[in-house]
Formats: sequence, C-alpha cells, structure tokens
Amino acid sequence: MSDAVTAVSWLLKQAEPEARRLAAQQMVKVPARQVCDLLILALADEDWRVRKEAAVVASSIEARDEVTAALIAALDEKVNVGLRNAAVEALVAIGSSAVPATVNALQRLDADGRKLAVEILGGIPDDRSVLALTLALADDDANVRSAAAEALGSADRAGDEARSIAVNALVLVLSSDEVFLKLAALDALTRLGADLPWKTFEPFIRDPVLRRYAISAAARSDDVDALDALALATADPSRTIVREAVVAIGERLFGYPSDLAFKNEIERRVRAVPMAHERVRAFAKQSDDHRARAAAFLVLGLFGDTVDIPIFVEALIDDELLQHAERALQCFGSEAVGPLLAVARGEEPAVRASVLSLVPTLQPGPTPELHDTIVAALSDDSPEVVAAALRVLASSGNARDIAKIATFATHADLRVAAAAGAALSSLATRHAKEARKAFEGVGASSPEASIACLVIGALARVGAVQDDDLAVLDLALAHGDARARRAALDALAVVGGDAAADAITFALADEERDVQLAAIRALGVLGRTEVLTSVVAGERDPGLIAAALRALSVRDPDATFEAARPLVSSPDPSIASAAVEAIGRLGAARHRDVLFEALAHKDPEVVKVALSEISSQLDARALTHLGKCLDHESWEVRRLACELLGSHARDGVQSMLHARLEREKDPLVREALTMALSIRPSALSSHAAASPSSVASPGGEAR
Amino acid sequence: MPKPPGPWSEPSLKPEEYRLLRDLISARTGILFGPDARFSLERRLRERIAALNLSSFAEYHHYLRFHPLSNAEWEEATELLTTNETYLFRESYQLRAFKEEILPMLATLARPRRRLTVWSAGCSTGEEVYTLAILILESGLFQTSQIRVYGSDISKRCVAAARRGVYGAAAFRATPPELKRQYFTEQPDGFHVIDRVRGMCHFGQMNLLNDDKAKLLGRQDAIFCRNVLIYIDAPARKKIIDVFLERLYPGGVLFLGHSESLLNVSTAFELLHLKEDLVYRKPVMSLRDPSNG
Repeated sequence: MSDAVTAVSWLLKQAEPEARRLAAQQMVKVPARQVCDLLILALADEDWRVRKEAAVVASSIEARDEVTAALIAALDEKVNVGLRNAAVEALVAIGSSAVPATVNALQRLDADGRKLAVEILGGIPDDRSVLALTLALADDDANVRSAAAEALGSADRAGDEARSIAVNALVLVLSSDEVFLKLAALDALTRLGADLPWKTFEPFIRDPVLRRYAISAAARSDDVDALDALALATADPSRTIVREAVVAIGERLFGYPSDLAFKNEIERRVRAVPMAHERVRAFAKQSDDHRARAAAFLVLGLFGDTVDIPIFVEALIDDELLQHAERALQCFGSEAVGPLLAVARGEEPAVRASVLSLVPTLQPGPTPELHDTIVAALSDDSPEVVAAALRVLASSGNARDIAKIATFATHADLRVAAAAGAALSSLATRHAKEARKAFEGVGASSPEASIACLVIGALARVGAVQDDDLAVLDLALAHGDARARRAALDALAVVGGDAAADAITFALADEERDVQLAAIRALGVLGRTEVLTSVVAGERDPGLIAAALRALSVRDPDATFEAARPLVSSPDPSIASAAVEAIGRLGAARHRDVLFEALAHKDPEVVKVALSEISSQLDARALTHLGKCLDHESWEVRRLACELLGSHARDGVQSMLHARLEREKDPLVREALTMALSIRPSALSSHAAASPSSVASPGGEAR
Repeated sequence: MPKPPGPWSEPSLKPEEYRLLRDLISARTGILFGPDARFSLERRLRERIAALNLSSFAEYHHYLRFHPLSNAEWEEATELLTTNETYLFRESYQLRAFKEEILPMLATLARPRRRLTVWSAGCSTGEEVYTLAILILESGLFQTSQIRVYGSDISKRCVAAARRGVYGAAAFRATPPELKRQYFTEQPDGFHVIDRVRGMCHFGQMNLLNDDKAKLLGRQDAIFCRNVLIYIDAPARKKIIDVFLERLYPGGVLFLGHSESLLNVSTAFELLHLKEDLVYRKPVMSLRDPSNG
C-alpha cells in the first residue's frame, strides 16, 4: 500500500470532519487502483464539507473512466442520499467525458437512478446530453419525463443547435395530457427564450396551473388575442398571474422603447380593464420584488395619473429601479414637472438632485418658474443638489446666471466645482460679452484666477479672445493654487500659438501631477506631437505616459504607435499596459501583431490588457491566440481567455473550451469555462436588436 | 515585525551601507556625499527609516531601488538631502555683471527673436529667479520682448514655495531698499512679489540629470547655476554642463557660483571676462550644437 493510500485512508477514519476533508483533498495523489473506493467513501461521508470536497476533487483524478464508473454505480444507492447527490455533483464536474457512461446508465438504472442521470445530463453542456434528454421525455416514468423537460431548459449552454433541438422536443410535449410535464416544458421554453406563435400557448390561458406561462409568452406576441389576454391578466384575482403580466408587459416596454405600436395597443387595453390600475399600483409600491416593481413602474406610467408620481420619486435613488422610474416619468412629459418638484422638496438630497437632473428632460424649453426653481436649488445645503442644479443651468441658464454660477467654481466640494466650471464655460460661450464684463476685474493672482482662466478659455473657443488675455494666463501659470494653473493651461490650449505652447510645455515640469496631466491634454489639443512623444519616451510615471499616449493618439496615430511599441515589452507592467491599451485603441489591423506579441509579457496583467484589446476584433488569428491563452500559466489569464472566447459563437471555439474544461483544475477557471459555454451571443443579440413584432416568425422556432 | 520604540532601536548607517546609498543617490540625483559625509547622511535619512518602519539602511537602499512606491520615496529623500539656504540679490557683483554687461549683449542677440529666456537651475525657493526678473525689468532693455525666467529645482517643496513668492525679512538682507519697495508688497504673511514680476517667472520640478526634462525649457539666453555643482560629483557635473550647453543659444552665457568652474569638466565653453567677474559663453559657432550644423 502506497504512502498516499495509507495517509488518506487514515485521515478518512478520523472523527474530525476537517481531517476527512483534507483526506478528500489529497485523493488526487492516490494511485488509480485504490482511488475509487476511497472517493466513494468520502462522497458517502456524513459531513457535507467532506462530500463537497470529494465532488470537486473527483474531476481532477486522472483515472477518469474508473472514477466515472464508480460514480455511476453510486446512483443505485438507495439509503445514503448524500452519496447519491454527491455523485451527481461529481459527474457534472467531470463534464463531457462523463456523458457516454451516463447515457448508457439510462438504459439500466431504475426510475430514481434515471432521474439522477437526467439531472447529470442537464448539468453538462453537451449536445449528446441534449439528445439523450429529448429521448428521456418519453421515459416510462413520469418523474423522469418531467425532470428531462426541466433539464432541457439549460440546453442553450450546449449551443444554438442543441437549443433548437430542445425547443422542438419541448413543443411536442405540450400536447401531452400530463400537467406536470407540460408545466416543466413551458418553464423550460421560457428559460430558453423560445419565441413561438401565440397559438402554441393559447390553449393554456384558462388552465389555472399553466396560464402564467401563457401570459409570459403573450408579451412576446403582437397577436390581438394575446394582448387582450395580457391586459386582462393585470387585474386577475391571482397575485401570481398579475405579477406575470406586469413583468411581461413592463419588460417588453423597457426592452423595446421604440416599439410604439405595442405601447399604444397595450396602453389602450390596460386602461380599459377595471381594477388594473390598482393592482399594478400595488406592485409598484411593494419593495421586496425588484423585478416586478421595476416592470410595474413602466406599466403604471401607461395610466398617466400624476397621483402615482410619488411612487416613482423614491425609486430615483435606487440603482436597480432608477432607469425604470425615469422611463415611467417620461410618459407624463411636462405634466410631471410640478408634482415631481413638489414631492422632491421633502425628500433626501440624492432624490432632490435626481429630480433636478430629470426635470429638463421632461420639459423641453424651460419656463421662467422652472428656471427660478433651479436657481433656488443653488442655495440648497447639499452639494449633491447644488451640483445637479449647476448641471441643469449649463444647458438652460442665461447670462444673468453667470455671476452666481461663478461663485461655485472654487467650491471645496469637487463635484460642485466641476459642475460650476462646466456651466460657466457653457454660458460664457453663449453669452461672451456678459461673461467678459463679469470677470474683467478679476486678477490672475487672486483666488478667483481659475474662474477668469476658465472664462478666457470659453471666450477663446468662440473667437472672442483679447490681446491681454495671454498675459493673464501667463500670470495664472505662476499661481500657487494648482487649480488656477490647470485652468490656465486649458485656456492656453484653446488660445494656441507658440508662446502658449512654450508655457504649456514647461508646465510638464510642474510639481503637481494634476497640472502635468493638464499640460499633456493641452499639448494634445495643440497637436504638439514631438513633445508628447518625448514625454512617452522619457517619463517614468505610467499615468503620465498613458495620458501622453492618449493625447497623441487623437492627433497622430502613427506617432502613437511608434512611441508605444517599444514600451510594450517594458518590465514595468503599468507602462507596458498603457502602451498596449494605446495601440489597441488605434484599432488598426496592421498593429495587431504587436498586441499578439504582448501576450508573451511576463506579467499577467499586461497579458490580460492585451487579450481585452485583441478581443475587440475576434478574427481567426485572434481566436487562435486567445485559444493559446487557455493554457497560460496564470489562472487569471486563462479565465479571461475563457470569458472572451465564450462571447464568440464559433463551433471551433466551443470545442476549444470543452477540451480545456476536460483538463482545467482551477475551480475559478472551470467556473468561467462553464459560464463561457453557456453564453449564446447569437441569441442575446437577436433579443437586443429587434422587438418581438419585427422578427415574428409564423412558423415557430425559425429565428 | 514592528520594532520596540526607544532610542536603542535607531539604526546606524554602516560603512558598507553608506557606500551603497551614496552611490545610489549620486546616480539618481547627482548629489555628492564625500568620505566624511556618512553621519550627515545618516542624520538626514534616519527619519525615513522610522517613517517606513524599516530596520536598517540596507532595507532603505532596497526600498529606493525596488519598491513600487520608490518614486514617491525619492521625493521625500530629496527634500532631506538638498540644501535650500539662499536670499534675494545674492552675490551682487555677479548680478551687476549680468545687468550691466550681459543683458546689453543679450539684448542684441535676442532682438530678432523678441524674446529673452533665462533659466535658474537649482533655484531653491525662487529668490534668484525673482532677482533676475527684477534686474531684467530694471535694465529697461526688453520692453518690447517677451521675458521668461524659468526656475527649476529637484525639491517639490522648494518649487511650491518659489511659486508663492512670499519672503521673510531675512531674504532681503542684500536687496536694495528701493527695489524691495518697488517689487514687493508687504502683507501679514511676508513680502509678496508683485504680479508684474510673477507673470515673468515660471517654476518646475526638475532633476538636472534628466536631460529629457531639461528639453521642456526650450533654448535659453542665460543659465544661472550657482552653488549647485559643488554638491554634485564629477560625472554628474559633466552631464549637467552638457545639458546646459545644449540648452543655450549660441552666444548664451552660463553663470556658476564664485567657487565653481568648468576646469576638468568641459572645454566646450569659452571664457568671457567681465569687469568684476568671468562667465562661460557658448561659442556662436559651437561644433556641438546641431543648430550650427
């Protein structure tokens, strides 16, 4: 008996579960002849942690055929449920190589065993699994048939063809007499996103158990009867049915905002259904079901009742609901403005800020009253609200607002200062004369120098620069406050000329990094590519190099490439990454060889950046290089390669990923591989690209 | 593991550590530490050892060479290693020579460009820069030209202080009272350089050994580098002088401190004998200047 067998056997007999878990972990070292017995012993352990560890380790044991056979045999276990479930988990982890043995086992196992085999096949993304599952729909045992239908709901992980086979098989099952089989089939079809004609689902609309699936399918149809059924369901006595209808309508409205035909048709119908408004409102108010609540917002918007506006307001600070609430409020247009502002008054700052930002989108061409409200918000105690008001004034303010806005440009809160700067700049370009008058007395050494520079920059943008402006900017470059120096540089970039360029160039030696970055941006605006190239070559700071490459790339892609190329092999990963990003951003096919070279960099971070850049254009060569990265020594690189390859739907890619899954031992990479194999980009893109009505196919599963 | 507090835990700079650090500092900054400077270096850098929770100068040497945050640490070290003592209108005989003999010469040279540029290399807290700017204004020779006086120093804190342009009474010990009245305004925190002078002066952080950074300055009519080279070793001194030569216009002049010379450093300059001083001038037809073919 080898040392490993002795040690693992001894550990498995210990009373302490952690010792037995360690035994399971060490199982890979046990010779093939003895490993199966020990593995089954660990999988049958009373402690779930030991069983879990053994299930994970099973996929890493080299004697795969023996292990698979032992695990299949364990499916016959009648007493120890833990062992059976752990065997299922282990076989799923083993993946495709376990499929033939599992399919064979379907012939000889009893009904309980076959149900487990069906679960295993459902967990392994493999077209052979899908075929076996479609056959299992005709199994002698009802539970096995239902389990097979349920398992087919994941068939899309095995690719488009497998998904299509599964959908066709499930549709056939819908004519069965078995309620549970139909239920499982409808649920699976929903999960597969199958777009089938309304007549397929219509028979179930009156079935108390199956109708929720019919309702869900109705929102994918433009059939008049489907829309009627959908609208009626919003006032159904069953809360489950109302939820299904609200989610179906809301998600279609959200997903296809330009499908006005659907919006108008469903709006007309739901408004005509008694009690629908109250039922939908109840869903919009409740907070424990985000998905239903978000969808209910959009349906509630269809009723156009301003009484409902407070319901949307509190959602404006919830990231998961914000977009839905905004979309719902758009339905009201300018009618929402007054009630919104009134409700927001008593709310927390984030809500007040959100409402201020939203109002201009509801009311094109602001009224004097609205303008006064926005200006009044500048006195709010919250910087968040003030910043929001300033952002609104940037587009809707007038000349009289300039002086008031300027008082915020040096605000201690950076959000406020930035918003004020942008607003001031915007207003100065529109009201040049008034802006100059407002700041003609401001000295370049004064604390307000940055404001004067900002205004000069804005005036220069509209050709309203004066002779003495350059002297003001020169003096501002000597200001002790880095903000003033930055503003001066921004303005000098717009003013232009050799003197401005000299001053900006020397600012690269400023002791403040922010000023150096501003100088680099300014040189980019001026198109001083030589200076930027020398920054790239001589600088040690990766941030400055990246900024210089970015500024350079706007003006001179060739110079960018020449400057960045030598840095791709820099031992400093930050510098190499900046160079790779810069070359990737150029997007030129002739530079791709350098990106491929970067995959050989010693630092995994650089390789990951290169992979990301390469993936923006996944041609055959790129796929080959990404495929090679599946064998990279760094698990992070392997995982990213999996994710990027997973978004590409070629058969070759699928088999590459499958092959890697067989060999991969790192759990995180295995997870990424499984995820990658489950992504179906073609299906996703078809949903994103067009509304259901525009791609409706009378023949059923054609698209 | 953190060390126990107390004076007994302070590390000493061993001779072999001194040699390593001295050479590293010299290579990076050019600052020279002679055979007797071990205890001076130990005294200056000891606080960094404590701040970084290191246990020896050998560890500090390793930190400066290899740590991801070494660039920031070089800033800190440089602040401690540089000498910043200076004042306005220092070494008046040189300044007289600049105003009365060099500026008229430069006015002729710079006239076609309508631009005068002067660089104070190693400007510390800016006293020399403002002094030169005032002298240029006082000369009255460049009223139609753009005037830029650049100041550079390796110390970030010095550059920030220079840009402020605020000085205490001690900085004026050599300043003629009428110039102090004319170019400075008294405020509660000290004497402020007036805007007219400040607008001519630009400051940057620069290691003189970094010739890429020096190129940011463009060409210069005059360079002042007084009492800087004495702290710098011979190879670094040569490199810096080469940078100056490259940055000067043909005919441009270089001012060094009264105890400094280019003997055994460079033969590329010619000596210009003035009434009270001598300065180095880049030959009008310099073989080493690419602009002269």
